[in-house]
Amino acid sequence: MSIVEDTFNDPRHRRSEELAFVADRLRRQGEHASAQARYGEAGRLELEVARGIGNDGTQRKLRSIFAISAVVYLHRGGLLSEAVRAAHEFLARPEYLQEDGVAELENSLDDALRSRELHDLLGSDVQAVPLEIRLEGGDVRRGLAPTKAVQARGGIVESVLLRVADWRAGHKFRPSGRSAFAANLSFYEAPARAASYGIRFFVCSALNDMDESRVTSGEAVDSFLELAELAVMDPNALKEYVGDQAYSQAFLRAFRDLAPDGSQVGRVSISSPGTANEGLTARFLPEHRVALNTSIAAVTRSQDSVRGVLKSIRLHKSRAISVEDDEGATHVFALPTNEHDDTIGHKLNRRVEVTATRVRRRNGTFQLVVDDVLVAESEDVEDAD
Amino acid sequence: MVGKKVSLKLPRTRLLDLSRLAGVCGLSQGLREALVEAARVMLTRHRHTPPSPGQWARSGRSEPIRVVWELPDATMIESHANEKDATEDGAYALAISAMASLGFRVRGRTAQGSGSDWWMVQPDHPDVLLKLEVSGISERGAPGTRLVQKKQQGQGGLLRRPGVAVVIRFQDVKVWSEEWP
Repeated sequence: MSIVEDTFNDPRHRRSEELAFVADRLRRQGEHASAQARYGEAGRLELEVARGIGNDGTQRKLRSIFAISAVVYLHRGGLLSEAVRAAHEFLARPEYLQEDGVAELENSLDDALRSRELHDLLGSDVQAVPLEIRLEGGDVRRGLAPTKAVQARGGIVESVLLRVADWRAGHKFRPSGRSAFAANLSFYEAPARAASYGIRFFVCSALNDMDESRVTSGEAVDSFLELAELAVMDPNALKEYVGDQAYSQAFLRAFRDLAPDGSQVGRVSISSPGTANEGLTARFLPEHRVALNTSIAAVTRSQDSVRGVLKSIRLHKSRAISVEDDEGATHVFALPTNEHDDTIGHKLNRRVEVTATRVRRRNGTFQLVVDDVLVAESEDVEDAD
Repeated sequence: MVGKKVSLKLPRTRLLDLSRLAGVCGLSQGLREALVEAARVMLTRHRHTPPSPGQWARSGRSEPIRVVWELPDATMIESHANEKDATEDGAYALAISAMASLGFRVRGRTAQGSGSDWWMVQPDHPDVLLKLEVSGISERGAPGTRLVQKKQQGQGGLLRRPGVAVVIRFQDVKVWSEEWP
C-alpha cells in the first residue's frame, strides 16, 4: 500500500470527508449551526491525520494537503483559535511542507485571523463571509494596484450586494434610496494578501436570524457569485435567470464595471476564499467587459460618444449627467430610469467616455440617452464596444 | 457470386458502471452511495432509462459511452430533491466512474482555500497525486465555457498539481473532459 492510499484510507479522514459532505449540504440549506458543528468535527479529525504524516518526499506534499484541509475545516467550523494554532503548528516547520503549501497555509491562517478579529468585534453569533475581488495583469503587481482601479471596484461591491439581497428577497426594484438590508448586512474591508492584489471584504449578518424574510450574508454572497459566473458565461443567461429587467440591467452594469479594461487591469476574479462555495469563482477578462456592454446597450441603434470630465449627476427629477469635453463644451445626456445609479457616483469629476443613443422625443426633437459611462483616465483604455 | 465483405469498425462503447464504483474509488461507503444515488435521481429526472447511451468529448474526439445504473426508489428521489445539490453530487459519481475507465482511481477529497479538491492517482504511480475538477449541468448550460473555467480553477490556486477537468450534463448524458499538465 502506498502512503497516499494509507493516508486517505485512514478512518478519521474518511469520517471527515463524510462530515464535510453533509456540512456542505446543511450550509446551503441555511442550517449554519449544524453545518459548523460538522465542519469543526471534520477539522479536528483531519488535524489528527495531518499530525501523523511524516516529513520526507511524498509525505511533505500530503502533509501540506491535510494541514490546509484541517485549518480550513476548523475555520468553517467556527473553531478559529484552533485553526490559528493548527496553522502556526505546521508553519513552524516549513521544511516539512511543500513551498506552495506554505503559501496556501499562510493564506488560510490570514483568513482565520481576520474572522477571529471580526468575531471579537461583532460577537460569535455573526456569519462573516469573505468575498475577494482579485485584480491581476495590466498595471497590477504583487501587493500593488492603481488606486483608481481599486476604488472604482471597491465602491461597487457593497451597493450591488445589497441589491442582490433585495432581489433574492423578492423586493421590487429600488431605483434609489436605502436597501431594506442595509441594517442587517454589514461590510468590513481587510488588507489585500501579499501574493497578489485583492480587494477583500467580509460580509456580516446575524448567524441564526429567525426572520425568514431576511437574506443572510452567506445567501447574498452565494447569489452574487452565481450571478458573477453567469455574467462570465453568458450575459443573456443572467438576464434569463434574474427575470426582472431592471435588476438584470443593474447587475450587468455592475459586473461590467468590475470587469477588467485590459489596460490598468488584465483579469478580475471574484470568489469567496475559505468557504465551501466550491467552483464559484468567476474570472473576468477584457472580452467579458465587451460582451456585457453589448448585452446592456442597444447596439443596433444609432450611438454617440463623447470623452470629457463628468461634471454633474442628477438622479431625481429630469435625470441627467453633464460632461465637459476637451474643448470646454458641455454635453447633457439623459439618464434612463433605474439605470447607472449604483455605478456612476465614483465617476464624478473624472475623465469618462459616454456612449449614448439618440432617441426621438414626441415633439420631434432628439435626446441623447446614456448607454454607458466608462472611466477613461488612461489614454490606452480600449473602447468597450 | 460472393459479395465483397465490408468491415465496419464501430467505435467501442465505453462503459461507465455506477454500480461498481466501490471497486474503483477509495471513498467511504456512505459518501459513495450518496453520490451514486444523486446520479440515479438526475438521470431519472431527465427521463433516461438504464442503461443510458451518451457521448464523451475529450482530446478533440467524441466517443460513445453507456452509463450503467439502476432506477432510484421514492426515498432516494425525495432525499435528492434539491436539484442543484443533486446535479453536483451526481456529476461527481459520473466523473469518478469516467476517470476509473481511463485507469485513474479517485482517493478522496480535502478542503482548500476556495472549495475542495478531489484527488486521484494512477496504479503505476500510486504516490503521484492528481486533481480532479468536476462540474455538473442539469440541462443546456454552457459546457465548453464551464470546462474552461474548471480547468483554470484546477490549474490555479497555490497547491498546483496536474489533473483533469470534467463537465457532466444529465440532459443528454454527455461528458466533456480536458487534462492539464
